[in-house]
Amino acid sequence: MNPEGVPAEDAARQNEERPPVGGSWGRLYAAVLAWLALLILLFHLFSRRFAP
Amino acid sequence: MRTADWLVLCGTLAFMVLYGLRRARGSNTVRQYLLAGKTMPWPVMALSIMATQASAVTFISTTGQSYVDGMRFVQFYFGLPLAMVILAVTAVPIFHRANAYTAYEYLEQRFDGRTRALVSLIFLLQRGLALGITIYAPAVVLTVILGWPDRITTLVMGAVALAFTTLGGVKAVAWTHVQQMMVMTLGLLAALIAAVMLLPDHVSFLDAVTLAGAAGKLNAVTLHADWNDRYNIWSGLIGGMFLALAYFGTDQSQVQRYLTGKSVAQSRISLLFNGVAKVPMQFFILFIGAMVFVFYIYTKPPILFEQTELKRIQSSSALQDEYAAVAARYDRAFELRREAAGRILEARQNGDAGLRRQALELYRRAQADLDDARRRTGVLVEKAGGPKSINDTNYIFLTFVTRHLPAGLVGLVLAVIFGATMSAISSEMNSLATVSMVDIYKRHVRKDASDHHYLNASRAATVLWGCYAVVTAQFAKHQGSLVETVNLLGSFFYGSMLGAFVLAFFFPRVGGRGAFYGVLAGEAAVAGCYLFGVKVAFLWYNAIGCLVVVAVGLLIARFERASSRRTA
Repeated sequence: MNPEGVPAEDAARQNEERPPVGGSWGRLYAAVLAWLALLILLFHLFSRRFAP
Repeated sequence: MRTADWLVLCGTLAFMVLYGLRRARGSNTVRQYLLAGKTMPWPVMALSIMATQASAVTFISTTGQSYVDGMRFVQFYFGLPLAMVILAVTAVPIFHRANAYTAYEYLEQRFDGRTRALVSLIFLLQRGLALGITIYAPAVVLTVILGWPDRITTLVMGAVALAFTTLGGVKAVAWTHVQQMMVMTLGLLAALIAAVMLLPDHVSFLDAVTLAGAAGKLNAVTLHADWNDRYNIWSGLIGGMFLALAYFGTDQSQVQRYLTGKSVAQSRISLLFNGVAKVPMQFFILFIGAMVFVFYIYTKPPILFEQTELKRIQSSSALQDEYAAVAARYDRAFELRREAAGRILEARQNGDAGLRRQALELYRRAQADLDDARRRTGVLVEKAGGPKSINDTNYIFLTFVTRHLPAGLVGLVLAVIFGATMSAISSEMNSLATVSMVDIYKRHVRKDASDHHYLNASRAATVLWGCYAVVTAQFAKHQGSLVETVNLLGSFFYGSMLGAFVLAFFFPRVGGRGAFYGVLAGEAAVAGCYLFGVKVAFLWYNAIGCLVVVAVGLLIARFERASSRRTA
């Protein structure tokens, strides 16, 4: 997705700017979402384990 | 408060403030004062973003929320990581490219001056009211510790934060946040360890978790879908995502944090860090509240945590007999609950399911009796001339800290609460001043003045907003759980603000008229939901406001296109 206001070449340049950690932006975004999924799963198991 | 506590409290706060002011040297231009010269590295921005969210409300009210309602409030934050990814992809590069001081400047570049002015005013209204609540929360702390009236304590808190923010600007704010987050982490860990250590010797950590679970306090995920239920996984993921998108994408108090970044990459990573760290942090804080609940199974909690209201009854001779009866009932219920807790643990050790069921039944009856005694005490407070409904959620954690923690640790936990307040207030004052100066004063009042003039105007705006906040803080009392109140307030306005930015980013055909009337329609829709009692939990207001703005904006754009075709 190329949001309004960001010309294609600008967007490409900004995406080329590598993240300080993690290798690529796509991988970093996926890691954040995977972390959220893992947390929800762990919290769910925790809730069930100690439910009244 | 003992001498050791005062030393730890004053020493920690003085260090944080002096460190921030030292790092802020050289903030003598508007760009330095409001954007730190765009020089901030991502770790500082990341911690500043987190510290801005973590006010005293977070510690006082969130722990109390968990004590009363369990840990399900954590679901409110499930949408936040999703929002961080979306903003990192969309808003961050756009704001950087716009080279703006505020998010609303971009709206003028994309739409027109009146849309910018409208959204700026909505922000000032919403954030100005929320600032009053942010200042009121630590005033509660001072009231509990020192016994001063909250009118005086709000004034003290406001004055300290104001002096610091006015002098240092955004750079002092950000660098102080780094220290504050470190102290916060340390203080929270210490509070949790203390809560567990203060349990009777025969109650282990696992026993404490078992009891919290049996009391229904560990309900961190609830899967059922109910539009009217404030906190479940669906309202958290969807409503929470809209709220986080609006807060981090359109609220200047947050946008300003990542606008100080050296580059798009630095700003992006600071938001993603927040997405990773925020949910576990809130879980941890709520867990402390659950452990405080277990602590009070073994140590009798006061019948009302808000002692000033209890004193009303104690000073009324006409109510003494009635109060004595309620207090006796409360004492019996407390003993019964403690006995039930012992049986629950015994059943777990023996693996006896039948005994566990009986113990749980006994526990529920005792808890219902305790709750009823508290409710009756509330009625007595009203008879004694107090408020109609008592909600002492915000006093629970404080009572635990000030009455039961060892010397030195009380000072540290209070330093966490005050430090968090300073961080949130300074960000909010700083952003209110920025929007007032950049989007209103410089844009509509005085367009061509010197940098020095605008720097002084920014400082003057900070002072004005500080005074306004101290006044509005007087109305925050008796609002119930402050963390809910502040989020409810945000949800009234955020949806429409977010809608304006969604139109700007993703719908190039929508122009200024569509955005302007869209925002008005979005606000009207949320107000309608509230005023006409539409049964949806407040988190959904964010989604409703945003969707109405987008729908109305698209409709107007369509009419405009049809009309221009007819004219052609």
